[in-house]
Amino acid sequence: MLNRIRKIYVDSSVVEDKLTIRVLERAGDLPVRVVDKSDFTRYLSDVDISKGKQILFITSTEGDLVRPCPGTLSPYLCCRYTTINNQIHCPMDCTYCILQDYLDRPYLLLYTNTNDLFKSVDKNLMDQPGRFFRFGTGELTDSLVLDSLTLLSQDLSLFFSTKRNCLIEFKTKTDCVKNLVENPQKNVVVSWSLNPQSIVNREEFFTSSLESRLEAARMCQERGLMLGFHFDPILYVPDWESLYQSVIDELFSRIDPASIVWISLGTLRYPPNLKKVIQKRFPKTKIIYEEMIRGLDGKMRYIRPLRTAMFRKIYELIRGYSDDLFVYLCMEPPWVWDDVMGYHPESNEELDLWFARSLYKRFPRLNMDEPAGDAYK
Amino acid sequence: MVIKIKKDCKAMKINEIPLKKIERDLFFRFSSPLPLEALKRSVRESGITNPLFLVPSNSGYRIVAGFNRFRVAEELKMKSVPAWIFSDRVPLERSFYMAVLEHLVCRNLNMVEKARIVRILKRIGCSEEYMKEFFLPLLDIPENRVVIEEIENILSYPDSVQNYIERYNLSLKMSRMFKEMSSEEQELFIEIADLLQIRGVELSEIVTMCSEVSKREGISVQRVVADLSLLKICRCDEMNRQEKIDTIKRGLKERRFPNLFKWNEQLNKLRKGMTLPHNVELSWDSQMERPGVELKLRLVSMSNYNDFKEWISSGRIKENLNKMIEILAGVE
Repeated sequence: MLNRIRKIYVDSSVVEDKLTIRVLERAGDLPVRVVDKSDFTRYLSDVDISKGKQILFITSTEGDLVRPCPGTLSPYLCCRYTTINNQIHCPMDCTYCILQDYLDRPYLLLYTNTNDLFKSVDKNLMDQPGRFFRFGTGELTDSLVLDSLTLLSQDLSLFFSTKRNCLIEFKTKTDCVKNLVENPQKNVVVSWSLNPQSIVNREEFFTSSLESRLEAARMCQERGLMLGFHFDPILYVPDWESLYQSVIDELFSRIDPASIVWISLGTLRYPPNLKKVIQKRFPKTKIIYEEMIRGLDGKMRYIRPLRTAMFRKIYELIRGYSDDLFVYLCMEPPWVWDDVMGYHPESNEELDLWFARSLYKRFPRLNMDEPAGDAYK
Repeated sequence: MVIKIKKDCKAMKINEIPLKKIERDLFFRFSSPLPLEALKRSVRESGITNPLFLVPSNSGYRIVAGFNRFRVAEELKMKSVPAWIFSDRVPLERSFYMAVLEHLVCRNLNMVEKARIVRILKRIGCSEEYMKEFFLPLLDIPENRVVIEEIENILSYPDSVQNYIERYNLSLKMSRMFKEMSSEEQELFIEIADLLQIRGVELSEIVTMCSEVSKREGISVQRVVADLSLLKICRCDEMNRQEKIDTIKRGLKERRFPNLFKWNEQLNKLRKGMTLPHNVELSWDSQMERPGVELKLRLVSMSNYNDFKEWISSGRIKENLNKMIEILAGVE
């Protein structure tokens, strides 16, 4: 994945930063140019996204690097995840990727002010002391795609290993786990987005194969790291049942459910504006032509009966391997939870609490406080 | 620059130019030919009150503005016409700019005319800077190379498509519906539009549905049109225009959203079979995102209540409601 980066630009004000020096030391023969931030932003603002994905801009930000996941609107339920956005955009190229439309800049950004990030995490933990926080870097990028350059997984793992009542999730479609398995830390979850290989081939360009992802997961498991899996986006394709069944069988043939902290299920959904971007950038993809409606939050999604059928099947398959594994639906209304699982959380806060309770029960090594409902209100 | 243009204007003089000295050259023509009757009548009575714009050429003069006036003068067998003559020191783009400006006094430009102007500017080698400073604001075109190319590309469409864009004054956004089509597909949809006499919005809806069905099913757009007998419906004598449009949209919807369509049809049928009291409304989310039906009851008197009670407790109503709820639960 790293070989997709063609050029590195460095904001002149961060040339001396530790992270900049580290990246440049590891960048090999990649051309590097030091620029003034405002010039760079102006110059590259209308670069085509495919080219932008090959440009890395190292800079710093005064904005908050830690934020609550924006989730989506009610009645859809969200899990109150907290995102760490020290790296933005992704060199991989998935047809359905929301970042194509969501981000206003086409190039990759790496913020060097990691200490501000740490301060912000601390502030979150101090502000809500009784709550267990799930932080993650994989919201606006792939958590590990640039890790061989940045080694940020090490910095973050070490930082989080000293904290209580929180964990950090590295969400990825790569097999770049070298830095994590070499020095495994507690409070770290490595998670993979999974799809059948035929979908990876057609819709997830420049990502690792399913086999490599699962093999990387197995390596992490061996080193005692906690694992997560995201069937998201689940795509409605011909033979989806048998395709996803194979993925789940393959997953549990290598991974012990006891090391899995959670599995999320989410079907394809996207803001309406993304459709045009997908049509333009990936004219061969068919994913946007299924029976989709504009949901109650304004996002396009498969019609509910289709989603329910897919969730039910995949949920049953997972339950066939484990009774107590924490499985949740991403951005679905309570009535879909009911149809799939027979119950639903009353609110986002309750879903957040369910996460904490499951972790408390299943992962004593997290040494977390027993979750109390009040801290989640 | 603007000051210079004013100077150029001042420097021009009106001359009476013999028709035989004016070339029959349509290079600068950007507006489509119009019926000339009204202009002919006016010229016959008052002469040409608005002089043509001409530039010198090797063998006489080329027209920059006034093609219709020239045609009328020819048809009326006039010997000469009044014309402003641009000096050959004035750059062509400047003369052309004034011609466009003159045109805009009378009426706005459609997308095909704008496309022709862009092409003329490229052919005379107008610089990007000049285009940006003078023409783009005049034509209301953004400073974006892709958009400019997109506009010029309209001229690659078949005449029938260009005529349609002009006739209904389609915006660039609306004209984009033709962009990804083959010329056969373009002709096909223009035929449908002409038969149904529909404007851009309605045509675009049909085009989008056909194209999405074709992509979804991996078949050609022509095949979708044939499968759904769209041309046959357009030519059907037993339906009026609106019925034809509704039938086409319905067929497309059924093909594009087969499950949603099927469920809504079933729900409609069940509702019809329930003969609702006049004070009761029964509805559901046709997108199926929300489960369940919604019953609205307006009570004006207690007899309304009694009627409702009687209605809702009937076995057939309960059965139909139950079926509706099952369909809307969406779990097969």
